[in-house]
Parts: sequence; structure tokens; C-alpha cells
Amino acid sequence: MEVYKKKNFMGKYIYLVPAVFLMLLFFVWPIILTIYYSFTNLALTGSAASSQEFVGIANYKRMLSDSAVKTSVVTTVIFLIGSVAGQTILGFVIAYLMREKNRIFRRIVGAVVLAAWVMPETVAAICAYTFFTDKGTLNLLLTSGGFGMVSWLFRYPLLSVVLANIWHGTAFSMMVYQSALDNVSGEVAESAMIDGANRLQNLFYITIPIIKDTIMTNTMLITLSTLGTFGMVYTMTSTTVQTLPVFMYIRAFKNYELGYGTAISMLILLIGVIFSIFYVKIQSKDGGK
Amino acid sequence: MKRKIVSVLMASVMAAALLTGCGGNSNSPSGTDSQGNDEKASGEEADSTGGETGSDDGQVLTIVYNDSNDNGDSSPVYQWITQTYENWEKKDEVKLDIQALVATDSDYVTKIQTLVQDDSTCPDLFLEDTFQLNTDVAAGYVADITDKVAGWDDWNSSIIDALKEATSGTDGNTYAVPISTDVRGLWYNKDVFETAGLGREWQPESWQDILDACAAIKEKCADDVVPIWFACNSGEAEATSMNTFQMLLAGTGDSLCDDATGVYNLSSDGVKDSLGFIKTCLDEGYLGTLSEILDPSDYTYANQYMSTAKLGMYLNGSWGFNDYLQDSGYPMQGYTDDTLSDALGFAQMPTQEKGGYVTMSGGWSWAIANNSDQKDLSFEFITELMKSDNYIVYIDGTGNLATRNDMMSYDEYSSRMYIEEATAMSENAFFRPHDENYSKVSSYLYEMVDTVIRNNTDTEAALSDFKTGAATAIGEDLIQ
Repeated sequence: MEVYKKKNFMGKYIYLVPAVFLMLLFFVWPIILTIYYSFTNLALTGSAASSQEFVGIANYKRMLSDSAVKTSVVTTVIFLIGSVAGQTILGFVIAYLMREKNRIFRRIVGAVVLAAWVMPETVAAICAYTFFTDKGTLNLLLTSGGFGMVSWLFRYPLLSVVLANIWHGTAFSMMVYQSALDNVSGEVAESAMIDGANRLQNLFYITIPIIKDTIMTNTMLITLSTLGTFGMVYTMTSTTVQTLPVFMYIRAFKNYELGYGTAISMLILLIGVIFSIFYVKIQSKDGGK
Repeated sequence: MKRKIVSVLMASVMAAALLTGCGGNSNSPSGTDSQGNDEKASGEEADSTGGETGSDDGQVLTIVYNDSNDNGDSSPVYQWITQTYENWEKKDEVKLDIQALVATDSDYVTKIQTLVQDDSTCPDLFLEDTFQLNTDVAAGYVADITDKVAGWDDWNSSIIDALKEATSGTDGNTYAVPISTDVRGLWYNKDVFETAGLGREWQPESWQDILDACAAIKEKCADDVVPIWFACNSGEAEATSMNTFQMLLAGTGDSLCDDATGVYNLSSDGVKDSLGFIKTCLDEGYLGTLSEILDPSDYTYANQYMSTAKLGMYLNGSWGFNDYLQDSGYPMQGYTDDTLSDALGFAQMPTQEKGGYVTMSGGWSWAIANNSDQKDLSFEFITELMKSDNYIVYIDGTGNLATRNDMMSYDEYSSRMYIEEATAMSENAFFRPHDENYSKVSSYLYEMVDTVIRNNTDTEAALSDFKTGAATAIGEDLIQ
């Protein structure tokens, strides 16, 4: 009996091997390589390209003294907070308002919001570009409404990108919250009503606490995916808005310094880890109760 | 506690996985873009050579060139290559794989560098901007062809000696065959100048003359007439650095780099004044709207305005007039090809203070990749390309100046418009630093010009950022 159990145990792990191998090859190995390259002077051209050397923490030291990195971190954080807050709140509000509405109405609104999300990032970025550009839709609306034209992509590039990103990504939050809200039992709300809670109290003291875990997970997911956004920002504003991924691209491929570029990508990873730990801490605080 | 550690660990791994996932994605816009075009280009090639007899021994020459205007089959380089191939005696033995990269000049450089690094993607032959050659030689991407050119008659008798300098490495060996050279000057619209009271013929003698002309145009012409245009954004990359900044710098008497020591002088008055000139044009409102001059394809606006008499002058290369021919993208309105010179003038760029003229010369070349296993065949094809009957296709199509000294015997070339002006300019030509680090420094230089225009940055602050950036990139000791 004992032997049989052991065999079964081993068997389970043998079946895991292919999956683990693939994970190692395609996820862990590139990460290890990237970490390694960030300690080298890897370059796209020049003598450094033919004689790659280990340079220790030189790239990281340089990052600390590079004022462009600081600007870029600030830009990234603003972009991140703006996008995540916008997507989460808008997504939740749409999902909440659509509850228990007519099926056809839900389908139409859902499809409209989803349209932005199913578009590939570059296509969405070009749509947003044509909306915000000088001769674009937004300015056409403004001028026909009697207002002056605003050069959105040059006066308010960061705001434009944040708005575009919210538009592009809201559907994801909406879907997550829709399914979470569908699982909130109507009886809970009903009994709260009977106890005298109004709609707002019902929302803040009953509904939101019930779906709190979903909110946290969703926020974490969009934080991490927003942190890596490149196509949207670069397509819309070229190099005006230098979030970290764009800045990394410039240093690696425009200034030909791949090693320094990978070091910057490590900084992005670090920010991602910090945010994740932050979310996990908040979650486990209540989870531990 | 244990649970906490596990959850923190899991969060980190998840963050890493998501970020690398997105990191992979983030490259896809540019990657798929050019790759898509590769496929398109090779697909077209398959169509056009489909009818020909294929090779039995499977020799295929891969050729890569840039087609930044997406001209496809009508691109001069494509026509040059196909005509040469048609006339080649080895046509039946060798197949060509012609790949056009539709990309901005700076993206083209990056793409070439990534292509030649790997055996599986490495082309045999590629077009190389001569400024990029030295750094790519240092990287080991380009084959040394000194021995090959030594035995090539045309190299010794026909290729202009002064231009061989551009394709020789810092070690004195030859790494590429120059195919074009060019000069830069001020194209101006004579109708606009007449309206501004400056007369139809114009030749500025100092920077102040240019600024005065801008002021006159701004004052006397309609509001939508832009006084002056030059490349000034980071998307235009080397054009911003060379066609604009270094054209100014050359006129100050200061040089960017000491070729003997490789030290870059970024603190000279010349550097400050050159940036100052650009800033003055911005502050005085002589430039076009920001969103247009900062567009990586800003030249489309410039050409549009020039051809409709909405632009006064355009600091651009000697190939510039090509865009205003009747069958080109921006035919000059109200004129024909024969009368184009009545509408469009080409003035020399003056020095800062009165005292002469300057221009910058650059050019393109054919280079053979070090990873190519068909170097001899590749070189043979270059010699075929450079035969004057084939070469005229390229020279005629691009408007560049020839690197062969016997091209004046072709009517297409000797009767070309503005050829006299261009030849006169080439006597005052300056070249970019012959140095491995140049393209890195240049990349910081055009970023600086871009920032000054984009964010209206103070020139002092922009210059000091430029210096720090360049110093960290190539080493403190090489920056002054």
C-alpha cells in the first residue's frame, strides 16, 4: 500500500516535467539572461558589440545619476496611477450600472466597451491618435462647438495617453466586475435593505466588501500590464511621453546601448514587484482575519 | 508567516512573468511592422522573378536596402538592382532575395544591426549610411574588402578618390563601396520670396541674413506661410543631427570631434550658437506648428508647403528638388518640370558671420556582411551594380551625386537641374567625424535638438544634459 502511494506521488511529478521544462525555457531563462545582460556592456554596434564585457553594477550606478531616469520614473508612476484608477473605477461603474438591466441593453453597451479592448494595441493607439491629433475628431468637435483648437498630443501628451489607455483597457475591468457582481447574492442586499440601508450604504458596506478580493486581483493585473505598455505610448506620442518602457527602448535601440537598456528593464521589474507586494500585503491583512 | 513569504514570492514571479510577457509584446509593433514589410517585399520579388529560370545549385544573394517612402517596385534602388540582375551573366545561376525595409532612417540602422548579428537573418549585401560604417566595422558586422577592390579596375580608375575616404575604416582598410554623395543647402520658394520683398534670386551671406529673410516672410506673407523648415525631431535622427545641427556648426568654425584624438568638444561657442540659432527660429515663430515639425515624417509637410508656396525656405539635401517634379509626390503647383528652376532656388548655406559658405557631405554605400558566406559573389554583384550603365538608373532616380567620375557623359546626369549649384557646394564640403563613437554622440545630439523644440527647454540646460548623456555613453575622457 505504501509503495503504491509513493509511485503515485512520483508519477504526478513526471507528468509535470514537460510543463516545468517549457516554463523554465521560455520564462525563467529569458529573465535570467536579461538579469545577466544588465551587468554587461552589451551594445548594438561599436566595439562593445564585438567584445561584450561584464561591467559589474556600472549600468545601475549610471541609472542613479541619469536625470532622465528620474523623470521617466515619475512619468511612469503618473501614467500608472492615472490608468489604473481610471480603468478600475470606470470599469466598476459601468458594470454596477449594467446590473439587472435589460439583456439587449447590456449586450449593446458591453459590445461598445469591448470594441476598444479587442483591438490590437497598435490599432487602438492609431484610433486614439486620430482622435487627439490636431486635425482629429476631438478638435473637430471642439471647433464645431465654438471652442478653440487644442494641440492635445503636444500640450497634454501624458493626459492624452492616459485617457487613451483607460479607453482601451476599461473593458477588462468591466468584465471582471460583471462576473463578480453576478455572484453577489441578491438576498444579502435584500436583507440589508430590510435593515434600513440605503443604496449607497448597500454599495459601500455590502457589495464592495464582498467583491474585495476581485478588486485587488484586478487592480494588480492591470497595474502590471499597464507598467509594460509600450505600443500605445510610443505610437501616440513617439518620444514625448517617456515612460520607462519607451525610455528603455530609446536607450537600447536609438542610443545602441542594449546593456543599459536591460538594466532599465530591471527597474521596471522592480517597480512591478513592489506594487505586487503592496497588493498582496493589503490582501493578506484581511485574509488572515 | 510562511504563508506570507509564499504569497510574496508568488507575487514576484507573477510580476516577472507578466512583465516579460508584456516586454515581449512591446517589441511587436516595430518588429511585426518591418517583418510584415519584409514578407511583402520578398513576396513581390517572388512574383517578379517567378517567370525566370531558377538556379539549380541554390545560390541566393540576399540584399537589404531601405525604402523609407514605401515606393515598392518603383524605388530607384529596386530598379537598379533588378536591371543589374537582368544584365548579369550569372542571372541563371544565382537568385536574388531583395528585401526592402520600410522604416525611418534611424529604424533602418537598428534593423540592419539586428539582422547582421545572426546567421539565419544576415543578408549578404546591404545599403549602409557611411556615417554608420565605422561603428559597425568596430562591431565586426562588416567584411573587409580591401583585397577585393584592389583588383577591380573601376575602383582604381573611376570611383572618385575623395569619396573612398568615407568608406575606409579607422584602420585605413576599405569596408564598403560608396554609391552616392550629396550636399546640403537652402531650397527656397521664389514666389514666397518675391511676396516678402526679397526678390526672386537670393543668397544669404550670414545667419543673420537668413533670420532677416524669415522675419520679412513672417511679416509680409499670409499667416499660413511658414518662413523656414529644417529637420529637428528625434524621429528624423541623423537628418536632424547632420542636415540641421552640423550644417550650422560647420559655419561657426568649430568642429564636433577632433579626429586625431577622438575627443568631442561639446562646450564650444559653435555648439552653443548652433543650438541658439535653432532656438531663435522657434522663439520668433519662424518654424511650422509643433505637431508638424515634430512628426517623424515632417518632410511630408515641408514638401507639401514648399510645392504650394506656403514655405519660404527648407534646409535640405541636394536631392530635394526631386520631390517637386510633376510625377513625384509634391509637384510644384503652377510650374512644369522645365520651369521648376523659376519657382525653386537652391542657395548655399552661409557661415555664421559673413565670409563664405559651408555644406555637409554624406552618402550611402554597399557593404558586405561579415557573416555572409558568399562574399566573393556579393562583391561581384557590387561591381555589376557599379557598371555605369546600371549605375545611372540609381543616380538618375535618386537625385544623389555620383561617386563615379565618368557619369557626366550621361545626359540624364549632366543636364540634371541644380547640378551646377550642387557641384559648387561640394567644394565647401565638411564631413562627419570619422570615429567609432560618432553615431552614439549623434543620437544624443538629435535628442537634444528634439527636446529644445518639444519642451521649449532652455539651451544651457539642454546642452548640459547632452554632455552628461554623451559622457556616460562613450566615457568622460572623450567629452570636453
